Amino acid sequence: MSIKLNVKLVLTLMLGLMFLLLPGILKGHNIYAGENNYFYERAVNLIDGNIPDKDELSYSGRDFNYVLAPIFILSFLGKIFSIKFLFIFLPMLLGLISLYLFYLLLKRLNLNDNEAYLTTILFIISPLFIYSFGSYNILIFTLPLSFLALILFLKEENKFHKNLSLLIIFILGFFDYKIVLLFLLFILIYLIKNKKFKNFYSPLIIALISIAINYLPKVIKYGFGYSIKENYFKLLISDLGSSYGISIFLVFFAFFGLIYLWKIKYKNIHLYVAFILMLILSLLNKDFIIYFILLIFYLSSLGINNLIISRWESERIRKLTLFLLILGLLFSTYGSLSMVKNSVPDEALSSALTDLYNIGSRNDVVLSHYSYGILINSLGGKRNVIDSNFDYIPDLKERYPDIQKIFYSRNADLTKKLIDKYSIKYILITKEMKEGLVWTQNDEGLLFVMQNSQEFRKITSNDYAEVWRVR
Amino acid sequence: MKINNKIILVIIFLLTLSFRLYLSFTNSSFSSDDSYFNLRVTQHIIENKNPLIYDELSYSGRNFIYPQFFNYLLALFSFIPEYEKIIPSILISSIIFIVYLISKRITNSANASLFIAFISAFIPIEIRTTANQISVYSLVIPIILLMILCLLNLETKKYFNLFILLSFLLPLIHPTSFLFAFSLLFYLILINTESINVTRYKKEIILFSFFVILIINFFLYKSALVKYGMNIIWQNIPGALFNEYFRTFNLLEVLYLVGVVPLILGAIGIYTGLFKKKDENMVLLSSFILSSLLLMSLKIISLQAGVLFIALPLLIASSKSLYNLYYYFSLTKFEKVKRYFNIIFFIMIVALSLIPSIFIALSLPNYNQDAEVFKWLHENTEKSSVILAPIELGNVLTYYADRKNVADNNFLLAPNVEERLNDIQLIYISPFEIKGLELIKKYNINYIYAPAYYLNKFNLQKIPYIDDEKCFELVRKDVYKIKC
Repeated sequence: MSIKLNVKLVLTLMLGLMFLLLPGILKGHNIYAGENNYFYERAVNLIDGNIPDKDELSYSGRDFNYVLAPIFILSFLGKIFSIKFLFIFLPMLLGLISLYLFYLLLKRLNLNDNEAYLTTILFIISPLFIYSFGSYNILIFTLPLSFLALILFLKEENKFHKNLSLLIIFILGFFDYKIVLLFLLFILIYLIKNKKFKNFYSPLIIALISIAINYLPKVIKYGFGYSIKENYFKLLISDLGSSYGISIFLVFFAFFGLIYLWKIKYKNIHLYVAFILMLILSLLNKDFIIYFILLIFYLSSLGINNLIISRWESERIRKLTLFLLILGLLFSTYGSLSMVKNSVPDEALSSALTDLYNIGSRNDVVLSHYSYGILINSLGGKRNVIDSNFDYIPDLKERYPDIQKIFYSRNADLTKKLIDKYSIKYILITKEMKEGLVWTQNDEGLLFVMQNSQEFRKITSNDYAEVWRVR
Repeated sequence: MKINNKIILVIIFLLTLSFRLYLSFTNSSFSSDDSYFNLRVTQHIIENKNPLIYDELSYSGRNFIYPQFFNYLLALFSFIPEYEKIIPSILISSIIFIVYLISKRITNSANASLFIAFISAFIPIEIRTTANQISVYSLVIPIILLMILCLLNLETKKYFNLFILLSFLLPLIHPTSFLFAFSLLFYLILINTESINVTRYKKEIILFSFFVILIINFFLYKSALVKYGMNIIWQNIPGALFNEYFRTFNLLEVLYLVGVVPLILGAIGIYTGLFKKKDENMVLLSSFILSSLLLMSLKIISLQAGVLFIALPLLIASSKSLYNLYYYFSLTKFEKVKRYFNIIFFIMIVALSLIPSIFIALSLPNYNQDAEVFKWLHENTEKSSVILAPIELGNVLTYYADRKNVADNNFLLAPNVEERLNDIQLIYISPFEIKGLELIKKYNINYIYAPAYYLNKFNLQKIPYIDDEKCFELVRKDVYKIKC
C-alpha cells in the first residue's frame, strides 16, 4: 500500500516538474518569462555590498524600500552560482519542495488520499503554480516556508517542532506580512476548533514582533499606501487573463465542494469561516487572492471527488456535468499555458526596448503601462513613471490617477501638462495595451492625441511595440 | 372533444398570426430601432456566413459582442420572401400552444387552458416588445416557456432531452438566460424554505442547466467582463440614459402593461397555490416573478424585460384561478351559470386585454420619415461618410444609409459612450459654433441629420449655429452637409 502511495506521489511530483520546465521550454531560455527575474537581477546589481538609499530608475527615482530578504538571498547565492542558473534552478527546486510540503500539509489536515492528490494536482495545473515557481520571486520562499510552518505547528505533541514553527513564522515576517497574518488566521481557526485557544498567544507574539521589526518603520515613514483599483474578476479568474487566478470551472467544482461539506451542516463551520474571511481579505487586497486560491483548490478537489463518487438520480446528467467541467478545466489549463508562451517580454518587445536603450540618456523618463515598468528599467535602461512595485510610493495616490488621465484623456492640453509634470520623454505602446490592457479602440485617449498632435513623433515600431518621443 | 380543442387552438393561433402579420405588412418600417440592428446582423450573416464581430458602421467602427443565434435562425429562412416579418411573427405566435400545454399540465382543464392561451396572444407588454419588430424576444419568450413546460414534465424523456438542449441554446440567444438561471436558483431556495418535496432528479437538472447557462454566458461576454468587471451588469449604459432604461415601476403602469385579467387572476393563483396548497408548480412560477421583481428593483434588468417576465408567469398562474373557479362552480349551484360566465369572461378579455393591446400596437413608433431621409443619404453621399443622427436612430441610419454613425444604442464594448452622448447633444444644442465645429471635427462628421421632432425636445427649431453658410449647407430637409 505504502509503495503504491509513493509511486502516486512520485508521479505527482514528476507532473509538477514537467509544469515547472514548461516556461523554459515555451519561452526559450534566452528571455525570462515575466518581469521578476529582471527586477531581482537589477536589484542585486544595485546593492553591490551595501544597501543603496535610492533606486534611480523605478518611478523616476524612489527609495530603495523593497523587501530585502529575497534580494539578499540571491546576492549571497550569486557569489557561488551564476544568477542565470539560480533563476532556473532555485524556483524549480523550491517548487518541488513546496508541492511535497503542500501534500504533507493536506495529509496532516486529515484529507484522504484522493482529496490530497487531487488538490495537489489542481495546484500543479493551475496558473498559480507557474506564476509562483516560474521565476525568482518572493512566493518561492513564502509558500514552502508557510507550508512547513503549518505542518510543524500541527504536530502539537512535539515541542521542538512547535518552536521551529515559531522561528519560521518570525522569518516569514521578513518576506511578507500577509502570509504571517494568514498563518495566524489559519491557526486561530484551527485552535478554536480544537478548543486550544491558549496555544495562540506565542505565535501571535512572535508574528507581531516580526511584523513590527520589518514593517513598522516603513509604515511610519510611508503610511499604509494606496491600493490600485483593479477588476477583481480579472485578477481572480484565469480565463479572463489573470496570471495566477483560477479557472471558472474550478469555481464550479468548489461550489460542488461546498455543497458536499454542507451535507454535515455546521460540523465544517471552521471551513466556511475561513472561506468567508479569505474572500473578504482577497477583496480588500489582491495579494491575498493567491492564498485564497489554495483554499479553492481544496474545495474543488472535494467537489470533483464528490461528483465522481456520488450517485445522482440521473446518471446522464452527472456524467454530462462532470465531462463539461473537466473538459473546461483542461481547456483552461491549455489557455494558461498559451498565456505563458505569449507572456512578455517576447523578442519583439525586447527589440523595441533595445532600441530604446540605444537612444537618449539613462535619465530619460518612459511612460507605459505599469506592467512594463520593470522591463523599461532593465531592458530599456531608462527611468519609468510607474511599475508594479507599488508598495511605499509616497505619491502613488496622485501619480496613478494622473497616468490614467494621460491614457484616457483626448484633451491634448491636459495630456501635455501631465507629461511635462512627470518629465516624460518617451512613450512605449504595446499591442497588448491597444487590445484591452489599456485601450480597446484605436482612437481612444492618448492614442488619439498622439495621432493628431505635433508634440509626438513615432521613433521606432515593430509588430508588438512602438516607441514615441515627446518633442 | 379533443379535436375541438385543437381546432380552437389553431384558430386562436391563426388569428394571432394574422393580427401580427397585418401590423407588420401595413407598416413600411419596423417599430423599433433594434429591429434594424437585427436586420443588419442577419443580412451580414447571410452575406458572409459569419457572425458580426466588428461593425465598421456602428460608432464609426467598433468591436461587438452579442449572441447571434436568433439572427442565424432568421438567416436560415431568408429564402422566404419577407422572412424578417413572417418568421418573428410565427415564433411569437407559437407561445399560444406552449401556454396551453403548460396550463393544461397545471390544471388539467382544457377550458381554462384555452382561455389562458387566448389571453397570451394579447398581453400588452408582449405586443409592445414584439409586434412589428424583429425582436429577439420573439424567440426568447417561446424558448423560456418551453423550458418551463419541460421542467413540469421532466419525467418524460423527450422533455428531459429538450430541456438539456434548450439549456445550451438559451444563452446563445439572449442575456435574458441569466434571468432564467437566476429564477431557477430562486426556485431551489423557495422549495427548500417551503419544505416542498421535489425530486432530486429535478434539482440535478436545474443545477446542470444553471451551470451550462453561466459557463456559456461567461465565455460569450468574457471580453466585456474583462473591461467592465461587475459593471457589466449595467451593460455600459451611459448615465444620461440609465434612469430611462432602469426606470422604477409603478403599479398602474404594471397593471396596464401586464393586463388586468392576468394580474388579478395570476396573483390569486399564486397566492392560493403558494400559501394554501404549497403547489410546486406555483413555486416555480413565483420564482420567476420574484427574481424579476428583485432584479428590477436592483436595476439589473430593464423595466420592459422585468414586466415581460412577470406577465408570463402571472398569466400561466391565472389558469389555476380559473380552474379553481370552474371547480367551485361544479360544486355549487353556479354550475348552471358557467356558460354565461364564459361569455362574460371572454368579453372581459376583449375589453381589458385585446383592446389595450390593439391600442398599443397602433401607437407603436414608425420610422417612415427618417427612413426616407436615410435612403436619400445612401444615394447621395460618399460611402465613407460619417452621419450624425440622434442616438435612438443610430441603427435605422446604418441600415438604410449604410453609412457610419457616431453612436447607437448598442453600448456594450462601444468606445467612450458617455463622452459621445454628451458630445452629440452638444452638437445639436450648443449655442457656440466653435464648440459645435470642434466636436464635428472630433468625430469626422460629414452630415448632420436634425429632425424637428428631436430638436423640439430641447425647445429648439434648428441647431443654433446652423445658419452659417460657410460651414453648413442644407442639402435636404433636416440634412446638413459640413463644408468647413
